[in-house]
Amino acid sequence: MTAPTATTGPAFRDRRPPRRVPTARVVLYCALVLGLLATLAPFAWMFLGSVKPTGEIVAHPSSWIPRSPTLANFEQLLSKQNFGLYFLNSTLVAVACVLGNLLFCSMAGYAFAKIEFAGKRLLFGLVLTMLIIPGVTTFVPLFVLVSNMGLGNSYLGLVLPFLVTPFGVFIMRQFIQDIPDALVEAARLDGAGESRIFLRVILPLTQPALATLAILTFLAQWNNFLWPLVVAQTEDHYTLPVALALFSVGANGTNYGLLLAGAVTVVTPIILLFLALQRHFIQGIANTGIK
Amino acid sequence: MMFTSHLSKALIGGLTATLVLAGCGRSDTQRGVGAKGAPVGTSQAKGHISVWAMGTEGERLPELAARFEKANPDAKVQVTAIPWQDYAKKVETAIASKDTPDATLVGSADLTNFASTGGLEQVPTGLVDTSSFYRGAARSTTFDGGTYAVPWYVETRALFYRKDLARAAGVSAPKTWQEYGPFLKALQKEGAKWGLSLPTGVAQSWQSVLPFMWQAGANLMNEDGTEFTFTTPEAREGMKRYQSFFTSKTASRNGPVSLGEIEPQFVDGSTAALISGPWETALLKEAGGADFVKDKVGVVALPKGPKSNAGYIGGGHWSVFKEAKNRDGAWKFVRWLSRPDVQQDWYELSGDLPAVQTAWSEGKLKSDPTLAVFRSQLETALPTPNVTTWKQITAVLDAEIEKVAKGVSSPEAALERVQAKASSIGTGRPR
Repeated sequence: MTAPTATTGPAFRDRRPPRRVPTARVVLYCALVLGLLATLAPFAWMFLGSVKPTGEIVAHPSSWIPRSPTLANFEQLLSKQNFGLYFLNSTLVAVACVLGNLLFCSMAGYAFAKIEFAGKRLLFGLVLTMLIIPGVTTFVPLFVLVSNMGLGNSYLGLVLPFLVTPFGVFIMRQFIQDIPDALVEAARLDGAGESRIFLRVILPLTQPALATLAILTFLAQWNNFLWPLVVAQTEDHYTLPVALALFSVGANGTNYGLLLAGAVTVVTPIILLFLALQRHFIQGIANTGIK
Repeated sequence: MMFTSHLSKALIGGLTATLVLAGCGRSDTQRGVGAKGAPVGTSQAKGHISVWAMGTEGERLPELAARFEKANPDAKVQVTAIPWQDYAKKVETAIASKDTPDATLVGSADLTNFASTGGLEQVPTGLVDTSSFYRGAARSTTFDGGTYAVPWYVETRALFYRKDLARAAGVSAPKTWQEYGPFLKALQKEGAKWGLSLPTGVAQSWQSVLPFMWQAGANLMNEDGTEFTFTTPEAREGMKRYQSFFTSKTASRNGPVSLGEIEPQFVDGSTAALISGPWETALLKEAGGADFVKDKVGVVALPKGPKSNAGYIGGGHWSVFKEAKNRDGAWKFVRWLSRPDVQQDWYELSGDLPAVQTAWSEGKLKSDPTLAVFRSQLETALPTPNVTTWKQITAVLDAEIEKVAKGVSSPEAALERVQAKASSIGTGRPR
């Protein structure tokens, strides 16, 4: 039996559990816990703040624990006309964009990765170029297009420009490229058509990438502010971020209680979604990150 | 390998093409100016009128609009409430796509930008009596010789101070610059860490600093509005006055950076005075309670400098889009909104201060002492120069103001730099 040491290396080599926890590990865990606390603190502040009266939120010095907890902020939020509708709009838009991205990006990704066709490199180069162009430069032209198509103030107008994204095509192509060609060829030899290969061979193998794409798209659309602000011409097409800005951010002051209650309402579905897809998500990030 | 050489070539080619195209897009920037339409008659308004209004104004306007509909049974006003956040982007995009409502509420500081796109119609001759509005408000509706909006509500700033501390110190509120410093020092002796809260470089700091220059008698542009004049002795004196609050340790060099930050400090007595607008009373009530506001908060006009006690005037105007489908109805609605009795109703509904001077002759607007302070302040309040480049220039101002506040630049040097940068930015008019 080797003597217990405080250093890391040799203690692990004989595969026996070390009797003492190495200092390095203690330091590592302390750092991780600190990092975790720093990450969680704003969320904790948001959740705790949402049940404080506004006076207490801005009070100086401030305290973490609500002195007089209240649900008034949430009541105020829910009493706003149409709040349910805004929530529904946000969900509709985000879900539609997720479905669109899952379908179209994986289809395009499959074509770019596994099918030979004329102009493939040029087309993929264009996709990558779009990845680089900042959204603000195309914002106004995009709106003019949507407006000229008569889609201003419609759900289709809110969703259409985001049904397929260059980023989505890119990560799907990268992922699918790593699926062995042999699998695809075997399916082809067995007489499967392209759509059958795509549905039966490719899609089942790309689940981690699809999960990543789903959560990133959902996040982007759920938080999107500027596009729905500009496209929605009447309040019944507002999404949550737009409605929230309308209610809580004034020209000269902010209703922090309402804002925090709204933030809790907006963030909770995302946290739930993330928890549900967490395993896939981390796997997906790892896979796309390694290449 | 992710990037094959083919890929990178395609990438670079595509990117270059995009940049070239993007470069071309700006080369023929249009400088259209909204045309002046036919006069608007006195008959009743008709048809569907769609309007945009922001924030609380947007939430409350339908109630007022219902009264317009009662008086004009054939008209239907559809109000869309829009967040103040990024509303300018929405208006600009609407103008660019020619997909606009009939009329919109416009923040007074943004009017010049919207007017310069050519997307707004000029106010028809004889629609309203321009002289019935506060002068500063009327001035901020003009651009390049045309009038593009009708003032609706106004706001300006006054001095809020801790009455209880002043009483304990045996001093009364300052009326002039000479009394300003000693008054604040006296409040500090009563336990306040800081006498006055001033912004120190955060965005919009200029709104608090330009008034010092105006009070010293500075004009920030020459007579015909073609050149900036930031280096006049008056402007320098104003900037020095701003600096003096920091060198005398009356104001913190690290001023508030976000909305809602200063109120708690004012309530707990660590800051004895602040400069703010009519909305401040509600914020202080929220932070300290109604009794606190009643017993401990004093509101007075800004202390007078060598020339005046001018403050900054802001507020909201109504503009009608050139692409309006119901131009006639929209102008009639805007005209109706600027009637003194409607302005009073709107004050009751929203608390927004009327832009029409005669609206102040009745009720609480006439009798309330705090409102009287703002009223007197409104008479001298000034808008910002009406140039399309003003947003860029305010960024320069804020940056230089920060240097003065933190003590890394003299007022003279800061103003020299403001002048140099403002001149190179220009006024947005062809030279």
